[in-house]
Amino acid sequence: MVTSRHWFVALATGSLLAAATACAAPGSDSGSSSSSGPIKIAVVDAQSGQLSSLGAWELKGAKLAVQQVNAKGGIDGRKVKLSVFDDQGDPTTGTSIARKIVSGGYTAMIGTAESAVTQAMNPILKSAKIPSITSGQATAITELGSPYQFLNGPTSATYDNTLEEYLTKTKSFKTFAMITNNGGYGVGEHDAFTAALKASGIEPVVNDVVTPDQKDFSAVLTKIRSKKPDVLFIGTEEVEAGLIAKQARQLGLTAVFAGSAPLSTPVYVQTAGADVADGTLVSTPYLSNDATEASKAFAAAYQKAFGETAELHGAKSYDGTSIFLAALKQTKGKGGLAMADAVRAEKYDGLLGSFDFDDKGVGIHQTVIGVISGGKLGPAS
Amino acid sequence: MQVTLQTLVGGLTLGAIYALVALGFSLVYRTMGLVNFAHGQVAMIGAFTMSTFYMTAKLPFVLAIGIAVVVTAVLGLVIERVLRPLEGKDFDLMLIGTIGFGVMLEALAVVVWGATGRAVPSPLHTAPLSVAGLKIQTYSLLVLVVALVTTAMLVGFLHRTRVGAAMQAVAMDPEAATSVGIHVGRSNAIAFAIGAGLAALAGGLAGPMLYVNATLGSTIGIKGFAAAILGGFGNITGAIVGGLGIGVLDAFAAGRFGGYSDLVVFLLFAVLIMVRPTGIFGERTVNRA
Amino acid sequence: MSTDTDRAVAAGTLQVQNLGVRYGGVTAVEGSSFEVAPGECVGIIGANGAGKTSTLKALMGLAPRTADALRLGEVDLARVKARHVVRHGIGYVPEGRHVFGGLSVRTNLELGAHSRRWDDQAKATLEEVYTLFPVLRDMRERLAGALSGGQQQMLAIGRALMSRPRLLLLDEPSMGLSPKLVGEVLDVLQVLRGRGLAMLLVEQNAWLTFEATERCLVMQNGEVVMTGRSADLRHDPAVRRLYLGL
Repeated sequence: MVTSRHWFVALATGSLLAAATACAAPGSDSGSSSSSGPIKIAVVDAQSGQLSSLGAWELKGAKLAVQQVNAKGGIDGRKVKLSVFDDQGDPTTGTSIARKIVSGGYTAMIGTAESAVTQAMNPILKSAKIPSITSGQATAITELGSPYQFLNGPTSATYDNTLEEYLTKTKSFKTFAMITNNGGYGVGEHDAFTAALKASGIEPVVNDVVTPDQKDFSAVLTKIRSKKPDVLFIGTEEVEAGLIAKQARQLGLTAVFAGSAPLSTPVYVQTAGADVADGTLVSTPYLSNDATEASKAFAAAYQKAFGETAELHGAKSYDGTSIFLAALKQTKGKGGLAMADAVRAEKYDGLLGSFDFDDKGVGIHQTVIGVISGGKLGPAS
Repeated sequence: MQVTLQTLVGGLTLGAIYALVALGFSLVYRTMGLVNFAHGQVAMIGAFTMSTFYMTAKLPFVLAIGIAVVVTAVLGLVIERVLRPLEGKDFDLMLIGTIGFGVMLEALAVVVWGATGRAVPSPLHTAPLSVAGLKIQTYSLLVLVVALVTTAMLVGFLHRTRVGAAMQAVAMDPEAATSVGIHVGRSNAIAFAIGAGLAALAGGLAGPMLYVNATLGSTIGIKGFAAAILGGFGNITGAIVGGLGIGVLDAFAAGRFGGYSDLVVFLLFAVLIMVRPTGIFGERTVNRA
Repeated sequence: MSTDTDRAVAAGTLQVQNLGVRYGGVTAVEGSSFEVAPGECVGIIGANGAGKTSTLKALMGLAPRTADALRLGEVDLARVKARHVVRHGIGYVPEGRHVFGGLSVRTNLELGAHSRRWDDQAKATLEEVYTLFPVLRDMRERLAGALSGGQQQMLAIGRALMSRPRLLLLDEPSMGLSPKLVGEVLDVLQVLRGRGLAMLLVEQNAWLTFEATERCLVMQNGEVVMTGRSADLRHDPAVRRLYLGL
């Protein structure tokens, strides 16, 4: 007789399983990477949670690059196959996914968008000689000492040095306040921008740290307001940055907002509100979809494939994936050190600029400054 | 001084949201003896539903919230019906069941609304009140007023209506309640529905203040749960005091301890609960069969 | 639905034939048969575990039961849901009182009338209960949980009376009460008896039972082993042996 207890356990187990599969990784085939059959590439990002927008954009960029290569016949006659893994923005989940990648015969990894997770996965991928390219920007990633680790954009140091120079030299701003969070990205931003200011002999009037989950910033913003700085530098991910900006204006803080990649996204603009976001100065390697012919083509293809406007993260991921695919063409589908060396050997003209990878894995060494106007990012004067 | 007062204002605003969440938790516990771990996720569904009616269907904000509350209350009825065979039986299984539901709701939200989430613009466009250099957002006042009015209505319902008294009686003694003619199953359904409606109200109101995505549920759910415990689980006044308290605690900890604010709040909470395990107003114990 | 439940309820005889109550593998009651006529007061005595409480719970639909017949007048109680039993004129005063501790005395009483509309008749009934139990009137805004054992017993009886029952089931009303309070309970039962209320009184206190009832059943190990007039059973040596081990 099926009692209510049995029925209930079935329901509970069923719901937990259903939910787990909704965000679980696909199963791994055993065995090492073969030399025939599709070339397997893993895409690892947060597909759930507060950072999931990053993951969604990255995936689209990678998919577009793979689609285009496969349409031209693939690599050495073999199709490229992407498998998606959800790291939930969590380093521990990332390491278990890294092990799956190693045992699953994957040639390379695209991801992650989160610096902390990238750092966590690095040692496992390094010892398995699997190249990966991340859109994380923490300078710490460049210090991991792995020949297989690449970055598809500039480091925090690059972003922030360019930004600081613009703010102090071009705009002649004198006083700065900083809010950063204590996640992987935020720590990188904190260190980079503080160092950049210090190099100019400037000490921020306030340099406060918040948690990534924080929702109310009244305390720190009121403190900052009393110091009346020219600029408020925000080193957090897009939603939190939007909340900080919104609350800052609500409290009557008039400082100019400045930051790097997250402040260039539509999520930041919507969360802050378009009128609040206007005037934000952003350090970015990808100013807009209209900047070059290549970016226009990319944006058009992206719109056609996904029905959405392309933005920075999709562009970075498209570049990173394209670079990896070009290197695989060179090595005829072989991964490992040969592929990593091939990446370093080529000079690739991407949407973000000319990639020239050094031995620290950095390919782009400069950014430009943009300003948000009418809710959209454009070049700053 | 100004920083302190402004922080207080910020803390109370968010605290009002936590209070509404705690209210729903406490009501369901007080009338069904159930700790509903899906409560935060229900609030999240309420927030998403409100955002769809407000932003996509372009209905007025109040109407959008109203519809969200009703839809979510109906969802509450469905959940209760599904879980009814277990009421009064295995309590632990029921807890696991609500946790499972919460996970399912979060996954469902991603399927329906996407993983990215959305920002909800504020429905009020008036300038903030400026009182002695303090900035008070009119929306914050709205949230506080709604929280207080809702509490008053809930208290009135529980203490002055037959249905409300019957609901409380069911929690205290389901058998005795049955023997005077109270429909235990229906009473629980109504309680659950009201609890879900309260969650949706909290989520809907939180939308313009925060950012609506699938994890909104766990964020305000945890804080609301802590608020309910702090105030005394099952106690209505306690839910309000606990909610406002947690909000203010959070805001001040953020100001003083920066990146360690979560840790500080957690430690403080743990100490308070160790000193007074039944919460500030004492726990309304419930007799389960 | 008639507004005056008094008319709708048949002033009928309670007929129980071959009642069985089984909790899982444990048999609490077996082969029990008895009747309670309108206005009659019947007692059930026996030691702990004899099946007395289970019998009352079975009548209220609160315990899993089987029976050849379970009727109140024309009504087949076997088909009546537990929450509807009260509508057929049966009031229940559970063992251990089971008042709603977190609610006021007044709310407890009002809930007793939950199965009826709260009209003038209900208000009049409340007045009657207050008159019968003056202490409840005095304490009407106090929380029921703050009352003493004896006061809670009065409240439990009062709550059951609020539904204007024709048959009152009482489970060990004397439990935990001092002899003086037991006497007060007896006084109340006599008054109710005088008003024509039928009663099925379960007790361990044999004296109280014999005073309050006309007939008695003696239960042992789930079965009715003896019945008789209370006046007779009082002096019966077999009963004394069962009770006093003589």
